Amino acid sequence: MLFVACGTPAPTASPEVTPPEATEAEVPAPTEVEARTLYVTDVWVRPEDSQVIETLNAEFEAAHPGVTVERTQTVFEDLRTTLRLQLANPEGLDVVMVSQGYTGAGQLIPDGLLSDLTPCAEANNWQIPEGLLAQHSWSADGSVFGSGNIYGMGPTVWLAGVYYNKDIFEDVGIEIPRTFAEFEADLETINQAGITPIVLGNLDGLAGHHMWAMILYAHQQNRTFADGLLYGDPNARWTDEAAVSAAATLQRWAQNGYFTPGFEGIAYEDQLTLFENEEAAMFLVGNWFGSGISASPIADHVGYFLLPGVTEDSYRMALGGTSTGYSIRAASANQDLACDYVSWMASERAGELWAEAGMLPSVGVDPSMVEPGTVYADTVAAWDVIQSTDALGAFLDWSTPTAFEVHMAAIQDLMASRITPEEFGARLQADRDAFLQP
Amino acid sequence: LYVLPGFLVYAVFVLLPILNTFRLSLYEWNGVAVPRFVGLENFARMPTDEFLVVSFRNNLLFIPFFTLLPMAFALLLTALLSRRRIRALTFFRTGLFIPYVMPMIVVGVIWRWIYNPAFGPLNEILGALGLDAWARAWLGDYDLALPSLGVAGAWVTYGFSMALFVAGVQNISEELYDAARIDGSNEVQQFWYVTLPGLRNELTIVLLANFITSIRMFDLVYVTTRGGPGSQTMVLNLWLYLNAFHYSRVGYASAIAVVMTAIIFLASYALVILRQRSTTEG
Repeated sequence: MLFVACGTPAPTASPEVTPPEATEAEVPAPTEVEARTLYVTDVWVRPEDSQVIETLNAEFEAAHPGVTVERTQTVFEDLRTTLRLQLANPEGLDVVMVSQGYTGAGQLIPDGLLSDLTPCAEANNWQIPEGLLAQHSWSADGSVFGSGNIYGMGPTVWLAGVYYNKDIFEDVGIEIPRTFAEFEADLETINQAGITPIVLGNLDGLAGHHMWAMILYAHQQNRTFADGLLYGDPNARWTDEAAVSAAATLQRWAQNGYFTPGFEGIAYEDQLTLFENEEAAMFLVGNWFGSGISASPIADHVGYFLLPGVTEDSYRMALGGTSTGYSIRAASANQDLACDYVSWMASERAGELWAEAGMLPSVGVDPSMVEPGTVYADTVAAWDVIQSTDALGAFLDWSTPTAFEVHMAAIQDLMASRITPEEFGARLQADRDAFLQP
Repeated sequence: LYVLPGFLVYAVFVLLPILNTFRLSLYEWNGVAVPRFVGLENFARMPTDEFLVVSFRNNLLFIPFFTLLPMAFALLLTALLSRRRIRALTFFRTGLFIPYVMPMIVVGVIWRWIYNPAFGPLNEILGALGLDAWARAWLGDYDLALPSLGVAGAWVTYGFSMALFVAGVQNISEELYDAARIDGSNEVQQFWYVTLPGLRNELTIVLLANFITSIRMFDLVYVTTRGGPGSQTMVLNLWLYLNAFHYSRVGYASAIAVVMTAIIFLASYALVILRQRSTTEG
């Protein structure tokens, strides 16, 4: 879901990995090493991300004499459309990337297309918290999401929060809000000052949908409801108060004019440009825009905080999730090697490189690598809070195979006040009912 | 025998997939597992599929934007560009034809920029003219998103229409124009009574081709609104694509494809019959 709208540019030709033969040739091989090729496809198309993978691949090859990693990159959206066929191909890839939820892995596991990675994770002692692996876990028949066998490993974490313009905050005389009520009061203060409080481009509905999910998560006092929605518990319903009141809040913000004028017709990726041009005080989005913001001219004037909860110390969740996960094709002949590769992607070394690239690695961040006072430092601090309280939510459109289009259409109708928050909940629930009891 | 190699290629890459689509429309299939025969169930489900019904309505609404609008504009241009000496005529003709040769994706990106409410030129021009009240979030506006995309579609298809019309005019015998002039008809009358009837064949072809383009509309919507806001611009082809590739409902998607093929076939057939009748009567 993520990369669809992140507008990450297609990669220019990535630097070729230097084959390790030159160095290996000098080492006298005890026995003849078997030449093997591991076919991997991934969705790391942004140049900074791609460089991390190139480095990791080169180091993997160096540690595995005779092994060549044959890497291809795919744009997330293309991967989604072709993955099923690639996985069914008997001569296909060894390691693939699969998105989470019923829109992704949930459609592949019932057909036995992915390997169970649980033994691999245990044997290699993955240092990834259980809550994060849950987003890649399924029952063996693929019907139950969120527990059971591990089918994927997302190497980094997405976390949605509030990027804010420090200068504007100072000008209108507000500080980082500590409660949700304070946050809403700040929105009004900024609006009264004649400044757009929140940048928004909702042409495809994605940004509005994320914002609704952020509001919903900020109001959760425990995980029960959110996990129930995501992992298919019929007792959790979109028509419940928690989901409907979040929708009502979002609709109210739209009616109050808290968003960029004309947001209905602005594209997702234009949001960063508008925020960079200081056209709004805040940008409610995930850290997939983090590197873009860090590289922007106003980076030094930007901070990051989590959308606050109901009270200052109340438990609250945050929208996010693990990145698209590495999985192994069930029919691959290189299961062991593929397991080594995925484990290498889950290693501390990988985490180090991801942190250098400004991402949040699933294995955690070494504090010494964070420069204090930067927007990245704010993000890491926020992640520490979420991680230590086990409060990471997930993308709500993972909940059914058809959720994406249903949710995006409904959120646009909601924000245009064409439907009530109750009708919004009912529409989502109808899609969910059709899925849970076909 | 000479056509055999060509026919083989055609059979393997066109006929077989078409037949296979028809066959699959009777199955429930996720693309990998064994298909399950369900008879006409896929078709029976269609009327209850809200997105499909909306898509169908939207496709119908798009038809005038792809047929009447560009054809009217192309006829106007034809009247202006043909049968007279204009400096740099080729330049104008080429320039006017360019939108048609551009990939639809590029067209979508261009129009997304034109319509952008934050920094697009359309709202800026309206502002400069003092028409701020007319500025809109074009592609995000519930009433205007579809017409906005329709205009973009017309911008693409008029070039093709114009090219055919301009070529058609050159086939009209000069004697007819001479006769009309001697009878004292002015330029408008000449266009109405000589040029237009002389373009009957071209009009039919253009109408048909543009109609098919409108039914097959996909890329323009895909790169701009993705069917939004709400489902105001969802079209059959996009819904088919989502079913086939995102929801793994290959059988149902095939059934939609079959229906679309039927629509195009029937409409083409009706048009050709009408055309033949008017020729024999006239």
